[in-house]
Amino acid sequence: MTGWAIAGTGAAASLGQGTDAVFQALCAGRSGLAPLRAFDHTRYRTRQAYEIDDRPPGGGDRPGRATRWLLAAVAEALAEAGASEDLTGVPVLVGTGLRELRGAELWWRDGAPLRPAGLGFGAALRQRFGTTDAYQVVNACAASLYACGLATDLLALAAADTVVVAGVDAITESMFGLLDRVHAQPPDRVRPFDRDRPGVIMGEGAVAIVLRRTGPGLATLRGVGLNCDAHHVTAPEPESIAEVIRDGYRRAGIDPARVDLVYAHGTGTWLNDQAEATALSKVLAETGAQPLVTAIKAGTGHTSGGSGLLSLVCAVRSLRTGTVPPIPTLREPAPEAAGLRLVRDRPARSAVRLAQVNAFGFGGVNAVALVEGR
Amino acid sequence: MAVPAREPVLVTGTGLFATGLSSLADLLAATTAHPAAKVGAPAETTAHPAANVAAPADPAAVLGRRGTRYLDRATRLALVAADRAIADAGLPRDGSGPPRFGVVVSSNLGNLDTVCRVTETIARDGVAATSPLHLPNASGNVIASRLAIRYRLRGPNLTLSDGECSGLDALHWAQTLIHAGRMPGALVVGVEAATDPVRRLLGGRRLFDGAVAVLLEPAGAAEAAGRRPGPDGVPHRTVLGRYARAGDRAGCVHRLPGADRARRWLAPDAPPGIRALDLAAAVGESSGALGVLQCATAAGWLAGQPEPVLALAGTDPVAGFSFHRWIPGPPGPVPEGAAAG
Repeated sequence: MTGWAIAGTGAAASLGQGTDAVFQALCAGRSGLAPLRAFDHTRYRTRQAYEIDDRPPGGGDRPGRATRWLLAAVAEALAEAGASEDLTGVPVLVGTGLRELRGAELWWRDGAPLRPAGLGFGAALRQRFGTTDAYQVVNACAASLYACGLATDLLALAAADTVVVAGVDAITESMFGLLDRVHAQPPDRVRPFDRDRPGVIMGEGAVAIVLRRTGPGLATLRGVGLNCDAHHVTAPEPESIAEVIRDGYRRAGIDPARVDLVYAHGTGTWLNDQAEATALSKVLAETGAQPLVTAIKAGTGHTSGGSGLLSLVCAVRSLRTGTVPPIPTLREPAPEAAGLRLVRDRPARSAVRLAQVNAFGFGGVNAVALVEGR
Repeated sequence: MAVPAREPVLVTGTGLFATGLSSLADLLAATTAHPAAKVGAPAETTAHPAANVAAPADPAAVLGRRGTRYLDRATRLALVAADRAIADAGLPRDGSGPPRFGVVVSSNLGNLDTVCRVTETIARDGVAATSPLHLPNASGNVIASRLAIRYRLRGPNLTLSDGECSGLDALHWAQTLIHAGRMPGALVVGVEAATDPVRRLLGGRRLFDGAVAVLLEPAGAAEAAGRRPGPDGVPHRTVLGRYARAGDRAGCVHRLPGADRARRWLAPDAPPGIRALDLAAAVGESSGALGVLQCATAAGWLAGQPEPVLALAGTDPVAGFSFHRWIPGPPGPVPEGAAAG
């Protein structure tokens, strides 16, 4: 059976710094949603977001915020793993949708300084941790879970003994603005799988895990399924999602009937939640599993590239504590989600053992990870 | 799970579409004509950004205008190069080809123009003035997703933006995903479009404005499929060798077994006795496209001469990849340095 030790985790989001803070806030049903801080709200219809509150006092914006959160999350994960901060020779795979493109926006519009290397995280990771093997997996909302998949391939091929996987995104005005543009009404809340869900709201966040071939760990990453719909640049395709779930099960070598917890992608958009609920229901009917199903984006917003890995570290906490955060904004499940055991109103207490984590991104990029408790 | 056998991975097709280079033969000629510049030597062209005196490559002339109007330039360039590489590999271009193939794209600056223009529009006139059709282009993986859609490629779909190392990284990850049993082959594309924001960011340097694509497949697959190279293409005699990253060039070469046998380097300079050819001097700064350009160039050379080629990219870190001549025939020991991992 395949499996790699998740030896440490790190995380930051609008509702907390540190993995425990984020997880506890989610279990308490809290949300990081707040009025826009740095963007000129007169330019937008949507005027709130899940931002990490670290802008300079007195307004304005500055580049490099995503980089700082990324370094902090990696440091937290290394500390928990009891690992050195010297990552010479250790691959670091960062899943990100937008890199430091916020810096490009500030450069183009406001004349802020920008060097080409400043668009990515490689130089900062080199400087802080000494790694010469940093990679930026630019795979939209599935990026950090795709990076997990690549990491498991390195470990399986014995090309590395330790891999750091991370995810991070800061909100850019171009992405925020275009998402605002395509919503008929600006969403007031994120309501995953609800019949009346109004849409997605962007969030900021960073997350990291330390993966080792052997040794102690918080949980075991069994495997990651990867594929692409090859269907549409933004709309998902349910049959392809069902296929990537089955691919994840096969690569993990687990008995699919044993899956007892699902952290869904659950963006709260009409299209994603419909496709995901349809695909998940179909696969669960095939396997006979009846897992608890939750989603964290009502609390964190859609943290884009880091979102899959953020769900994964929460899944690790659930496996260790037997606590599953609820979807606090869920009132009436959508018809296609009616057969799912959605966690609502209050956290679920259950000795869960095998978690599935979903991430589906623009462009039809899909990733599903299987994580087992120790 | 048993680790799959490390079957050698071949370059089975190549395609190029770029300003000033009408074919792979142009690329090979340009590279051979430009020995590596010494460190500190001035760029070969004037400082004016329009120094690419050739007319900009026009994807619309190849793709047509219908259905491509809202594609950004990088995507259009990539679609043309990919089409040429797929044809060169003898694969169908109508989307009926191998459905499990994956796509790996390397680009650092591909959607910079969309990001800048949309930000400018919002600042001036608010979100109502933006077009929703630009939403897909704001995502850095739009090139890879449009390639997958056009050719119905449902294997892993990956976009990398790793600075100058990115193109060689893309080859490495495509090879890794093949060896991990995730896909039976890959379309790998390197692309950078010399749009206004890109020119402004990179200063007055000469810029590569185009896309290069290669098809990668395990050695047995293309042979078994009975495919032959296209009439204008390079015969698939190139096998991917070893890949490494390091803090400097010497460290990288040290990590590549058999690299010291390579007498031809695609790099700005090389030790005495080794011929160094610098793609930047030949075709301009190519950023995310560099490594895939190096692969296509190496494949072109290896068709004629069997000596291994070493490609190096970046300064700190440095990525390196060796390319070797592959001799089709009965199974035998893989050439030293030609095995992955």
